[in-house]
Amino acid sequence: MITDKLIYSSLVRGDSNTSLDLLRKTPFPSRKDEQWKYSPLKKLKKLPFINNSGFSVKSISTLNLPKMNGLILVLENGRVNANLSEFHKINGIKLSFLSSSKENDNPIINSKKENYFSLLNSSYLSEGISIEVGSGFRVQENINIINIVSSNDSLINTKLDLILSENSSIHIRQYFLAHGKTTNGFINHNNNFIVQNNAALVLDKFQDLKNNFHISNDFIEQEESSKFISNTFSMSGLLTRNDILNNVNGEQCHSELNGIFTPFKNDHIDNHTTINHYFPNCKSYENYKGIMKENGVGVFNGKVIVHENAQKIEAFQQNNNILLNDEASIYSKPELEIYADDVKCSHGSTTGQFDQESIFYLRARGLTLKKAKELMILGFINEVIQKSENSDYIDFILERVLEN
Amino acid sequence: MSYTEKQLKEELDNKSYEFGFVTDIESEKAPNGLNKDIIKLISTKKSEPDWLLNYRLKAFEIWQTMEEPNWAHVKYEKPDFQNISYYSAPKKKKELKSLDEVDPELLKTMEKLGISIEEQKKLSGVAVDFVMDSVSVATSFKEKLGELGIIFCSFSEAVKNHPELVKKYMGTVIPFTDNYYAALNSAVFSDGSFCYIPKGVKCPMELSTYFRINESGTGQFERTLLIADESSYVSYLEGCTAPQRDENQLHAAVVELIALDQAEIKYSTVQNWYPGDDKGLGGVYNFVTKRGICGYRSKISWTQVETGSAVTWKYPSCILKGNFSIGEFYSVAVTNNFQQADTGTKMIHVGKNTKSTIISKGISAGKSQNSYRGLVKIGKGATNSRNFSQCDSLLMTDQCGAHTFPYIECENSSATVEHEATTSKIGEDQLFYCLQRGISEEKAISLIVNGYAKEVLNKLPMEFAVEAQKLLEISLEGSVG
Repeated sequence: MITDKLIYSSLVRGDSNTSLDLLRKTPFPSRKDEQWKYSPLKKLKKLPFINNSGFSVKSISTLNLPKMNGLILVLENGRVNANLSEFHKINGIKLSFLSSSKENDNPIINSKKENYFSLLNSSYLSEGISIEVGSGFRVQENINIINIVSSNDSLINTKLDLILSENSSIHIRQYFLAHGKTTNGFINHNNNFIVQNNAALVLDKFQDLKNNFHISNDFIEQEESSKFISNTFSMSGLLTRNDILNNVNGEQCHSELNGIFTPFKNDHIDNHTTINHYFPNCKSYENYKGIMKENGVGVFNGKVIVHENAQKIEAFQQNNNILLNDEASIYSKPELEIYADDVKCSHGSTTGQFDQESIFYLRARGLTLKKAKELMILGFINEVIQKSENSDYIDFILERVLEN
Repeated sequence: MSYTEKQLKEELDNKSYEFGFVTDIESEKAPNGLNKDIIKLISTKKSEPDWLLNYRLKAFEIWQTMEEPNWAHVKYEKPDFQNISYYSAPKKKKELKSLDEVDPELLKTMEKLGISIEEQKKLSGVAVDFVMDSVSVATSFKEKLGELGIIFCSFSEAVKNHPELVKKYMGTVIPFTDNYYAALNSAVFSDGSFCYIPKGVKCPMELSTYFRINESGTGQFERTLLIADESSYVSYLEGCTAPQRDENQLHAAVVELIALDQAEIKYSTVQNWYPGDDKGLGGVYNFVTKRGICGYRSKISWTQVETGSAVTWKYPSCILKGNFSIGEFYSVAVTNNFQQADTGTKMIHVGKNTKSTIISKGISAGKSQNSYRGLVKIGKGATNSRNFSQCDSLLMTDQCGAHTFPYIECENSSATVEHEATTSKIGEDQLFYCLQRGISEEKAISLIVNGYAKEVLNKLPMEFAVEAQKLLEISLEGSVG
């Protein structure tokens, strides 16, 4: 069992004591649960994870990340690695680490997501970062958070709490990485965001876990006229799963969830998203592209719920997939639940392979087969990748997608 | 004189459920409850052979270990299975040879339903296997079909006269272990239709069965088995009406289609069971398992127009086992008032070069909930398979719901799967365009709705298409404003 060898976290604050009780009452999910139908959990359930806090990454350049501006916060095996991090004070931002907070400090946000893994996270928390952006501050610098697993069998529970006050904006980049030949590690992460009136948040997530597990439970609450954009780039992982719950609690909101997932050898990448529209006059867009290679398995389960009285909603949901090998598989489930009539909602899902005629067209113009396929992949993911405005970051993603 | 929309509306306002009458026929009824003795009683009443009784008992054992599923997007009071009578049959007086011998009450019922057997016989060329509650009492055109070697009879007759066919195919597409309601049906099924089309025969007429729930508090457990042998063709119609009742009635049918190599089956349904009144009281629970299996180069096509039932739970499916086989699903589901529908299809691609098409149109009005739930599965061996799915929803009021839950599972890289869905209300500009041309609002709405469902209605055989269009209008009566 996952928790057998774990030490209860000393970081637990506020009402989190109850989360351990809740965790004990919550059964480990199984494939019989609709939400976990396609996720392979057997191995995860059996592994006896340990807490581990040693450092082994020598320099940040060994990670091959793109050029970063702004803050760099490196968490290795769930502890802050100060040697690799770059801190400086940014106007309007209040940043703190849970490990250096006082006993009686309450967390700035209490997550509304309660499932086995979010409870596991709050019961055995390794480290948490909380960020408050003051009202009216439009932060130009990025916040880069690098979360590395570098020790076998270690379970890392981290979280990021973020409050964007009125009229503020920020760009967060998260990296979830496995160092070297680490295997069977598990990064279990929670993101809790509140985006207040007129605020804007962009979240880029890059996930490359190789032979490790990673589950990210994201909870986003949006208030009036706010904007939230999430770009998720999932490259690999024995099991990489993103559970995004986006509650839109105000009018005139813009929500956007984009993603590219490229599972290959033995990988399983799961994307579960839920967008709850409680208020009228909002727009939401979802666009996920999957490229499945070798025996990689991809899952997309998107859900848009338009609640009663949430009129004039425009919700658009799209999932396109390419299967490159016969062993690869994709499970796509784009769902709509609509309880209001004056809405424009649509979804589309396609699964296919390279168009042979297009390949032929390119080859007839002197491109090698490899080059032609690369070009086709670029064209396929272009729509999503262009959402990122930073060219270094785009190049970095492209390189990693093609490399796999 | 032209018949205006207003007149129709007036007529509808003053009219409650058209087919809500009760036929007063003496009927024999088993006591409420379900146990081994009841199953044995059903079996004895129908003078069934031992193998069938054993089949029922085995299914009952399995059923007892199963739990009632609750994953569907519907809410209802679970039926009390011990409070249902599992057998009811019009009392058999003697063997019937001609229509004159049929109970005049029954003939009247048929007339009210608009399917007078005499007329049917003379004019339409449709053979009607009329199921009154659970026992077939009249079958026509049997001789004509017999000449071609086509067997079209009630299920119990088939058990008596063609046990080898029933034994060979029954439960091969839907085993009793399949799901809760299929197991229940396998244990207590009362009667149903059986059809066998021999090799190379193209059935010259459309076969049809009218199901009708009659006796109060009697669950209806139909079982249909349709076998199209190699290179044959059959078009089968199923239409349903039920009388008005205040308690919920359960209907758990099983329909199995078997299309052998190069055969084609076209199965059309118009379902107009009592949907409950405008306060959500009463209505039929419709939990049906329908599935077909396709051999090499064969084709199964499901077409359905669903306007009735309080709760519908129905997924006509195709297993595309043979190479080059084709599965089709066309559906219009209308829900009004407090109706709930969770319906869709499953296309399971097993063979190479298999193709499937899904067109589903949902229309929700009143306070109803209408869900599409469909599975497209491309197996590892289903090279070059192709699927296209389209499911659109139309919302008529701000209190109803339209939901889409498509499951797409693809395990073969040479397959192409497409799914698209839209949800919208009737476009203001469409309405404006019609009004501007002097068409009244109600007429315009009916025009738009019929146009919206056209793709599916076109797939219905002629006589059904007319009925279906009328049903659409009746079902949506007063729902737009």
